[in-house]
Amino acid sequence: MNAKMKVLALALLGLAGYAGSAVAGCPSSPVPPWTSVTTLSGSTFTIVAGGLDASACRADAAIGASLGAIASVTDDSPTAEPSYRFQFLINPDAFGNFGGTDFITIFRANTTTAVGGNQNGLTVSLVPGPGGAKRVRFNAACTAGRCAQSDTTDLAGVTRIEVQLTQSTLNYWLNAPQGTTEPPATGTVALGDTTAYGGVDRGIMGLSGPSSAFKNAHAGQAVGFDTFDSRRQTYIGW
Amino acid sequence: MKRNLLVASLAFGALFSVSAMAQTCGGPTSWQPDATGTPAISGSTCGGDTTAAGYCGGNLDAPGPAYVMSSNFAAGRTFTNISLTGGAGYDAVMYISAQASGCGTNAACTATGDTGAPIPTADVPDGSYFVIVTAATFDTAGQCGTFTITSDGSFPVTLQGFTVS
Repeated sequence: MNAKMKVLALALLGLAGYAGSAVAGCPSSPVPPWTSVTTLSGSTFTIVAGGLDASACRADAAIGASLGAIASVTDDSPTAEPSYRFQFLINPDAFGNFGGTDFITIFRANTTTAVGGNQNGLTVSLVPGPGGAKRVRFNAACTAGRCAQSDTTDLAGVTRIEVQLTQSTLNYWLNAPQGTTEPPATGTVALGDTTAYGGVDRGIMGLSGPSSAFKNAHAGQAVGFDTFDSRRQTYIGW
Repeated sequence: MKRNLLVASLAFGALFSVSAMAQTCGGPTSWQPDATGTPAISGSTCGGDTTAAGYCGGNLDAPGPAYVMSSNFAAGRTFTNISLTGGAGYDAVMYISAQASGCGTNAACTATGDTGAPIPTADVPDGSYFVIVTAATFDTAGQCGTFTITSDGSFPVTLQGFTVS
């Protein structure tokens, strides 16, 4: 797994090195560089050989059959960030076709203070598209609850997701062309005034919050995550 | 000489399940079932605690009010599973987190479960915990309902008082 864990306080791109080797040169644990790993209700989050970007390793996450199931890693390095960018790869193919009420969260950005009673300032989820397809939904918190939402087109195979979250706007890029120059965003959501949320102080990547239909149909199916990076301002790209 | 063993949870729980209004972080219900799993707790999350803005270290939202219990788990426990049934109006879930991490603080969870996924004894190390019943992360704001939480054994029962007269 390429975990380019950005040290936001330094505004530098930090590539965290791993010690130890469990599988084909892969680390035995995602901690460090992640702050912690959470596996509850029979869920697993493991590092395996075969990166999603032709690197050596990736992380596989699978949930148990419970609404409380969690298979995730947490990055506590952000500190009340008014602008927060992150990027990661996911290959959701192992889930197969999605039913009409299947959904599960794949990333959360927690904020320093709750907005509308919710400390998850941003929730990125897999949701159903037509004909069993999977899409990504970006759902931002505001004072009236989860009022800002946008869905992508259907996903196919390894998907690169980059997001910029500020206190007024959410921009996202889905499978942006290779390069480090920021292209036009795939989608933009105006958030209105969310200054009350105080900024992002935690990033959580992995599986959590499944719908009843999802945990019944997709428990134990492992999907790959890879190449997480986060920073304050500049486009991440690849 | 007369000896009175006052084992409150046994005396109270042998005949009744506990049914009460929703309990909060400020006044959680003490739950220490005996070897028969008595008492079960029946209640409603409606009107319960609304302190939390998230659960399990931010992995889950806190859309509805919560019914909060406090329990001590120790050696000698006999339970194998904690099970939950939920009423209409919401999707009931249960979260267990260490009391040392506070209540309603978005603390890390030690164990989670739902109406179809009991919490096994192996998921709960010895210690003092809050046991929370609330609405699932995807429920809409304010959703709540009734529930019954049961154990198939003790945590174990603890001695609440002892007098010699």
